[in-house]
Amino acid sequence: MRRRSALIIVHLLVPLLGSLCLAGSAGAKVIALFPIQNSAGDSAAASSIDQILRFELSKYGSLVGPERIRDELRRLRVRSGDRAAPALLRLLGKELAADWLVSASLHDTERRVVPRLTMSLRVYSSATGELLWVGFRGASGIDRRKVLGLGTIDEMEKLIPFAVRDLLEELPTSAETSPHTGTQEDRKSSSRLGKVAVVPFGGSTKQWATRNAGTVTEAVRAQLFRSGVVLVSPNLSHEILRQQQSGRWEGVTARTWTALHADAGADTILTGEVETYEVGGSEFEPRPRVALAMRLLDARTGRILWTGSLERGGWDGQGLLGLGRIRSRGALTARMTEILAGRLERAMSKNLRD
Amino acid sequence: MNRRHLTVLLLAAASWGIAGCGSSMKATKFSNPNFDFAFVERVAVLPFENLSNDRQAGLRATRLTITELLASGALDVVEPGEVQAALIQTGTFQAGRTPIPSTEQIISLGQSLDVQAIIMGTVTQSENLRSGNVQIPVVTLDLRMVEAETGATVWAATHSEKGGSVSAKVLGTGGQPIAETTRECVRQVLATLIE
Repeated sequence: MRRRSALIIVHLLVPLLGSLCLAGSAGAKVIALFPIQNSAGDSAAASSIDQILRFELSKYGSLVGPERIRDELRRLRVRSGDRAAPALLRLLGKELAADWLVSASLHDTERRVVPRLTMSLRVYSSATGELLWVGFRGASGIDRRKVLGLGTIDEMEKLIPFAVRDLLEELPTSAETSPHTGTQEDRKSSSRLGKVAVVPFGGSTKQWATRNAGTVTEAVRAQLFRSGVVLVSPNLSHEILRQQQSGRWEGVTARTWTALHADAGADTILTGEVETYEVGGSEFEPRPRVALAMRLLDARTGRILWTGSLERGGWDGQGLLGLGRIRSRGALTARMTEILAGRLERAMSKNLRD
Repeated sequence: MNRRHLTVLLLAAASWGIAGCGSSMKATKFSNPNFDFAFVERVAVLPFENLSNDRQAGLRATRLTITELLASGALDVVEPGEVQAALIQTGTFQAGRTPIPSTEQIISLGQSLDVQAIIMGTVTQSENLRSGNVQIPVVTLDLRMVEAETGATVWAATHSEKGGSVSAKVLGTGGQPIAETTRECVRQVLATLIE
């Protein structure tokens, strides 16, 4: 009888101790996950992402309860973590006793024969109220397809866990040190672009122009971060844009670049346009097409330092039997921003205009 | 055997010739002989008017013109966001409409943007023409430069560009993206300005 009770206690304690050890090994972070920003209008997918993110983030530390976060957001009148000024985020972090403030966005979902989604995640430090990490991911149900159709995912709810895990793959256990690029200080010396402010892109696509422009802006931000560039925190640049351009996001005015340089310490400003963001092809083999343009400005003078553009289809550059095809707009955008960021770095290293 | 070879060669030459006939004409150009273009160091490019059915054509051509001007290294171009702010400030901007400024507005824009000249343009054609199984992109562009001090036109050029390589046209291997044709069209027009 005693032995049986002891076994039950052990069974109950082991998972608890395990989770405590895991949290401890990750530096015992306290994480507050804001409600998902659902630009796709897909509540079921947003709810599913919220659950999976909670589970995955619990590996990094302990999570603040969603009710408490909602109450604090309401009390401090914060609608979105990405739009709250750093001082407000610091206050929010203090009230929630959180180390990381996490903001996730669901940009688009397509519940078709081949489900597709695009999402992004930003981690803010409650100590500074500024960005620590940013990630972007586009996924489709046939990204993992193997011979005889094995690995095909035909439902959005089954695709979400894979997309979330892929997204968090690069989130370091301690966000102050990125696995790719070292500390924030190292980044500053390694990038030729200096500190970059990403100003929301303009959109002129046939449908959902603003939403698509927002998606590409997040992809660019994540790509620059991955490349080791120091970024102006999006909440800080949003605050400056709100003050200087009163809600008009496309392009940069003299007042804006002056404020981004003086108040946010930006050396350069990256912005651009999204001209095409669509999916063609068949239900079984989607063929995304994206066209985007970028330009880099000197934050001191507003002078255009570099411009670049790219139009690409998901099947461009495919190998034999369709190998290497990209089936989602998000994944194609990520690939294109990688190419353009590479061109930008090369052009800046030569100090030439591309 | 030799005669067969000769026939094949003649056919290839004829196809080449046909394809060549379809290629683009030289740009038509006007430039004011009394204007000193060396005086122009910084220009503003206003959003182009779009008369084609291609919704993106105006924006695309504007953007590519800015890029080509910058790439030439001959001129500095004002950031489009600053141009838009100045258009709003001078009352030239109307949502959903291409700005067509009056002489007074041009002078005012020139002063507020600190530029010597303003470039305006119109995309009159941007479409994919079908030729058998092949789609050939065609872009026609009119550009003009006005002096910011007086509002007078000092340079104007028009050009029509047909996209697609000769092999694409003859062998039906597919045309190039319309953005590439637009870029080539912009280059041809600007070549008459930056010689």
